[in-house]
Amino acid sequence: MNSPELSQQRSGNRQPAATKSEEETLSARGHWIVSTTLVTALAVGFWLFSNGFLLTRMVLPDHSTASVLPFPQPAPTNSDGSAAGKTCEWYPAKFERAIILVVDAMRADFATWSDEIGMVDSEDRQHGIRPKPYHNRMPVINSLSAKFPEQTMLYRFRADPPTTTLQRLKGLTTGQLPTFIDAGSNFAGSAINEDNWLQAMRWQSLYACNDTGSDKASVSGGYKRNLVFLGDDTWISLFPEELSDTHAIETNDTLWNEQSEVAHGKRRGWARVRPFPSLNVWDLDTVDDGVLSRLPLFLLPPEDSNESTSNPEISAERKLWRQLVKQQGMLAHPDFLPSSSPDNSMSTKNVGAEQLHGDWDVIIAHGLGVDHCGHRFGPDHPAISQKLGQMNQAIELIVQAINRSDKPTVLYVFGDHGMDSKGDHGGDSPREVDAALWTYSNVKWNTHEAGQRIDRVLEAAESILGNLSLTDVLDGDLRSSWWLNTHLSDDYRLKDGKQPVKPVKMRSVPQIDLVSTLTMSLGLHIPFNNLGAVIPEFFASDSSGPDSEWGLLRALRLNAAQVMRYLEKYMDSSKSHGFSNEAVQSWRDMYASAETGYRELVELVAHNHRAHEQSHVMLFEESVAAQYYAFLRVVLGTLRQMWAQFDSVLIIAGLCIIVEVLVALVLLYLVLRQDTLDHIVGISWKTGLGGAAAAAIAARSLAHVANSRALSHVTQLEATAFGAVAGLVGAFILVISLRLAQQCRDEQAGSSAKDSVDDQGSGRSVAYTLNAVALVMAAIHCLAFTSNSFTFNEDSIVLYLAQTLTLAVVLAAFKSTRSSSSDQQKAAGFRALVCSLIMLALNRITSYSTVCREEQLPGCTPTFYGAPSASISSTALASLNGCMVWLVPYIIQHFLRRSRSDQAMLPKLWVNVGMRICMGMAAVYWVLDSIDGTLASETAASQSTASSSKSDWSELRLVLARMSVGIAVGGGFAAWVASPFCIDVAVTAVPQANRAAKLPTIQATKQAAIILGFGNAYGAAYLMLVSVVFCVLYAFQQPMGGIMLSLLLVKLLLCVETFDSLRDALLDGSSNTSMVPAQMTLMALLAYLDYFATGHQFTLVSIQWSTAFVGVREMQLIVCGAIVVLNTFGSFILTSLCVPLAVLWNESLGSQRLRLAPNSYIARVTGAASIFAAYIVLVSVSTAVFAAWFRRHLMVWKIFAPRFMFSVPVVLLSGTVLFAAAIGFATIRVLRLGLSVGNAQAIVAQKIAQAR
Amino acid sequence: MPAKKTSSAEPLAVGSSEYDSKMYPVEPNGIELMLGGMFSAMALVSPRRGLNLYESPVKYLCVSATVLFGYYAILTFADIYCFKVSDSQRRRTRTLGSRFTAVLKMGLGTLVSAFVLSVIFVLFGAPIFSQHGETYMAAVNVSFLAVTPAILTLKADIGAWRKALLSLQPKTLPEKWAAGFFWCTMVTCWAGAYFVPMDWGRPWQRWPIPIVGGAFLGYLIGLMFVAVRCFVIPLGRADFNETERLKREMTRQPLPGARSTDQASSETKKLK
Repeated sequence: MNSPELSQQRSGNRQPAATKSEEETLSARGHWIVSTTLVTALAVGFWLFSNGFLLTRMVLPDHSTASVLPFPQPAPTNSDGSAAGKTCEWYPAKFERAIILVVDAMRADFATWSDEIGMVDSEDRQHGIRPKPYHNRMPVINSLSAKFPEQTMLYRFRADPPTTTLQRLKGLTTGQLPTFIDAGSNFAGSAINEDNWLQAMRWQSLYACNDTGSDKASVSGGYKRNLVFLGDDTWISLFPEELSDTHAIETNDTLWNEQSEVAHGKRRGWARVRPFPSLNVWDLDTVDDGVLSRLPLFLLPPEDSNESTSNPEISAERKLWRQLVKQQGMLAHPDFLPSSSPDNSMSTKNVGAEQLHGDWDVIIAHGLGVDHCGHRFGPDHPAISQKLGQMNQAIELIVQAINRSDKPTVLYVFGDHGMDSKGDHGGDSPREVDAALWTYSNVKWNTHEAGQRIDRVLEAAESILGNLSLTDVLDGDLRSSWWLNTHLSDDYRLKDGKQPVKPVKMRSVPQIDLVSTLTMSLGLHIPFNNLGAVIPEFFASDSSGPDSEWGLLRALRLNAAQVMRYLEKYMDSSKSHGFSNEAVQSWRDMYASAETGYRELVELVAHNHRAHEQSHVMLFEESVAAQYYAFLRVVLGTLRQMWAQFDSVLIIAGLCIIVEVLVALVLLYLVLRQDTLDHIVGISWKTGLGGAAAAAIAARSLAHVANSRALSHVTQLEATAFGAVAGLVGAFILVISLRLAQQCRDEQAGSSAKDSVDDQGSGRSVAYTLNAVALVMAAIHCLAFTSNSFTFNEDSIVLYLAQTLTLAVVLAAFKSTRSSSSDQQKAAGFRALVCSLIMLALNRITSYSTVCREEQLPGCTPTFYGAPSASISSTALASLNGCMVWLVPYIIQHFLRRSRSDQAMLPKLWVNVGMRICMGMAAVYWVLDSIDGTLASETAASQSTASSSKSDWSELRLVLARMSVGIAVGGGFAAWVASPFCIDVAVTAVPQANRAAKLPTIQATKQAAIILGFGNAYGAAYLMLVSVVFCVLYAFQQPMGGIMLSLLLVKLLLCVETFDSLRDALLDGSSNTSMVPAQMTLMALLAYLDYFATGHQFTLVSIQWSTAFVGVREMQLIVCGAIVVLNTFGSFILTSLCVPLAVLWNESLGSQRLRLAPNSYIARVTGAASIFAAYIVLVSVSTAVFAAWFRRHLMVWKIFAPRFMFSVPVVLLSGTVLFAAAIGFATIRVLRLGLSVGNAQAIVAQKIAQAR
Repeated sequence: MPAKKTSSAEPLAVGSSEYDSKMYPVEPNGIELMLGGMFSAMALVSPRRGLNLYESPVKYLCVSATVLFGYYAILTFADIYCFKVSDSQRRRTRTLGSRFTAVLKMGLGTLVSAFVLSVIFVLFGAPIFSQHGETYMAAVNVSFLAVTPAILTLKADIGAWRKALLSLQPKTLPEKWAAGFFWCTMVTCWAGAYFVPMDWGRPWQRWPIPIVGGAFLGYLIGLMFVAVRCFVIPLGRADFNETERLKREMTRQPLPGARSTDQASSETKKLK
């Protein structure tokens, strides 16, 4: 297949030499084809790899229904208990009403009470120990637990990481484990398709027993749920259907009644939904106020009703509720004015205020204040005690309302996750995972005797779990149900290890246990996908079922049967479910033995009606319950560990493509030193397409064979994409490597003739050495991902590598100062020395700024925000950022001064004026922002009632941010597009114009016109674009980030200047050897260094979501997302944009090599860019390889997988910016404009005319 | 012996044309190889009580720096480092006072280079605002191991330093000597930083112990490297009887390759 190509290649060999002689025109076609192919190939490679690597779990569409029990109904018992009829509920409802109050980020130790903390206050202050602002702030939990021990229970509520709200809500409603790929979608939540308890409450279609037991349903209200939702709008994005307000239906439909409900989407009951925006982290109060102001509408009787006017208690409570709301404007809402416009209030004609109070069944309230407070101020701030105090009061009032109610009502108060010591969450550290759950009811449900039975069950289950062979799947928390609240004691630990505060012992339950508990206690069915177990306390104190068996046993049996049904269904629906045979076998064994035990128990009690009171029967019941419980725990543990369904075929396929692209990039650089892109495309496109087609067919059929043998489940699309891309890139590699081999042969033949001329030896050896050092640095950067400690310390490693390379450049420059021959070369060497020394210092300064990863913490102090525990920049830092407004334009002008480009119109107007205005506005924005932040935190600390969220500056800030970006894009960019060249003409009075030897002159009659900015025409023109983009990026960086981004620009300019001078000093510009690899490696390392310095780490937590609102008033997905991307990857965008400068810098307007062969000039630019891209791809390949290698590592989801996930946008974004924007658009535009001779002459003529 | 005397006069004449051999009045001979190994091992171990490297690294490094200084002081004072100058010349130039000055210069040069090194350490990521003592004492130790051999052989001549340390193939014996110690120590010291970020939680991972440890290891490697490069290879290549003359030859020829040995043997024949 390749032989015709070979011959074609040989014939094409002479082509460049032939075309070089005639005038070439600049062609961008080859560049576009090659770069588009490679970037697309990279995207496909990453897509394949991610498909194989990131966790996937099948979402089963099945639903549980109330009428079908999860286990086959025992026929004889059914016939005996004729009163039961057709079953409409799995478990009789314990509670009629439920209030679910989610206090976002309520950690386990926020809810506990410890008397010792009060004592700390007086004694240990001299040890530097003071009570934390978040401890003992919810006394109502403790006092009620002491007062009504049989009505309350406090649990540690353990979350499955990732601990983001969206993921947790999914788990808390479906009872499922999170899959990692969903973690990033917190920004755009998507609806849940799986079975969940909101569906169970809302959908009429799920009640198949409507015809038989309809009268019962309407009487008890057990099947009709009137739902109220208040709070976090994440719920709405998850449950758009279930949580749709029926208000509009009720008002528009005049005939609305119980019957007509059924017609509307088959819903039952009414719903009131009031979501509040969740993503504005700065706003501590709006969501909480919205929740707290609307709760009394449901909990208290209407204001004008008899009950509330007669009872003074209620009016007092109403007053307390109103005082809880911090923003009084919330109370002026139409919801609270009975006579106001009907379309916006909660009550309607059909469901009036009385019904709102009397008929609700479930209230879901989700307050975000505590979480936002943690994000904004950190937990160690007085504001958090106020938010917790507010919640405490709210709980107190809710409990009072529950006590007044005559229906059995249950209150669940829980945090969906905790927060770490900085107030953030998302990971799996103990403080993020441990939330609190507290329950209260106005009926007794947790009796003392039942508690003893539960203890025996848990002990038995623990011993069963301890005897199992698969010990590795069960972590300690699943094994044991008791936990010491160490977060409490750790906060007060003295330096000598003493603990003045003893840890509190708590029951520990996984969060997903809430699902089965909630549904069964409300008389609903468990969602189909649930994996949790019931919380024993809720069922242990009653007996139920046809034979009045122990409630806990029945609940656990239902639960276990439901889980087993789910597992069987899951294994049926996919061959490659990923469960090991041993695990499946052990599940089946455990379930079967529990069922056997149950059947024995049934036989034992079959003829003895009083059997349940006998102690040996009770013990037997407990042991069977323990077996069910142990089964549920084993399933949960195994699934937690094994759920990841790595597909090694796809992983390897993806890696193959990425490595191929890497090889292609390196080869491309080598071959482009002599060839043009058009030529490359010309010789390779046939082979490429042929290879792509052939490989696509081959891969597709191979995948078909593999699929049919159940070796893998690669889809046809994946197989085809892999084949096409791998074939294309592979054929491309083949052709260019053959071409490269030919070049080498030609070169050898050529060089043997002129062997003797070798005066560039020392320069060449320096270049080789630098490139070798760069290669070593790249290798070390790659190998860093072999170890987790290197991966999370990547910031210091990148600094080390960058400094080593810079030091090597310093030594090279030092060497060149003496070894070069002419004075000019010596001056260039000296310049390189100075520039590289400055770069050395700036690198270290850059690395000073950091936000620490959680893993680094004891040995790392965060400096990004000025103060270690703050998440708002200090005002001093923001003012320092203002210095950059003067500094950056000055330095740009300084770099332009050497070629005297700084006198031209564009730099004078844009750099001196426009850029300063633009950056100045951004800097003022951030100063105001930090003032606002500090003020807000002070007011939040000092006053309890004042509103702190909105400030007077917010409108001004909005204008400033928008103006800043607007000036950069509308002014700077437009000016650059109009005329990018920084050329001016100075008319001197000197008649002998040729005195300035370097500057070409145009002879006037008596005056001489000197073209200013001639020597660096292309570089300066390109730099203008860089400065425009820099302004945009600068506006979206926090103050410290802005400083560091400015330093990055300075460093990039220094780097360009250093290598340019070094080239002058060592190589004299003629040699073929170049230092491009070293330079590109250094630039890439600088980009990585600045990524960390601009306040980022390769973790999801460190993304600065708050910058999404720079210049945006309300959340808009695309705009805010783009801003966050610009903020996060700003350093990579800026560096990629600067890459062409490495070639263009100091390229004069009259450059011969450019005029004679513009296409090979573009090829050089693309070559340099491909080395830069190769470095970044190399790092991403390494992250991918080691993420796949460590896929069973403990830290994979915490360290290796996030590192890989971040490297994907880095590669794709910098690849796109590099090839499309930097070269495809900007460089080619600059070169085209410069090359059109008429254009240059016109500019010069125009300037001369102006000068006269 | 007379032949030797004439030959010692000859290189001066030859050297003046190619390069000034007075620039390198010293030529190492190998005693210090053994001494260096012994002393660096002593400094590394320092088996004194109450001197815990992990608890008080500054104190420990001070002691080891003192030991190193003593070692170099003895070398300098006893003039073991300078060789291959005629005895009369040495007696003339190396008075007691000038020897003291040499020791002083050596110490001063080391301190200055230690300062430069500590700046480099900080640039490479050592803490800026804390642990100054550790950083500087580490720099003193490293500079004794890496830079002092170069100070002793190259003196204060930037050109010589550049030629010895930055040209990839140093030509003369002192250059090889200086470059061997410098690069071996520095590269191993650089690589020692590998252990700093690891999460093993060992006491010896604290700054600056891995760096200094790497430097000592590098110095030992450098000893072997220099020994092989400057003594074993030349010895192995030449007739044993011609060693002395070859050592002299080496001062002006880059590498005693096959061609040069041929020439040398022919020259000896002519002399005979």
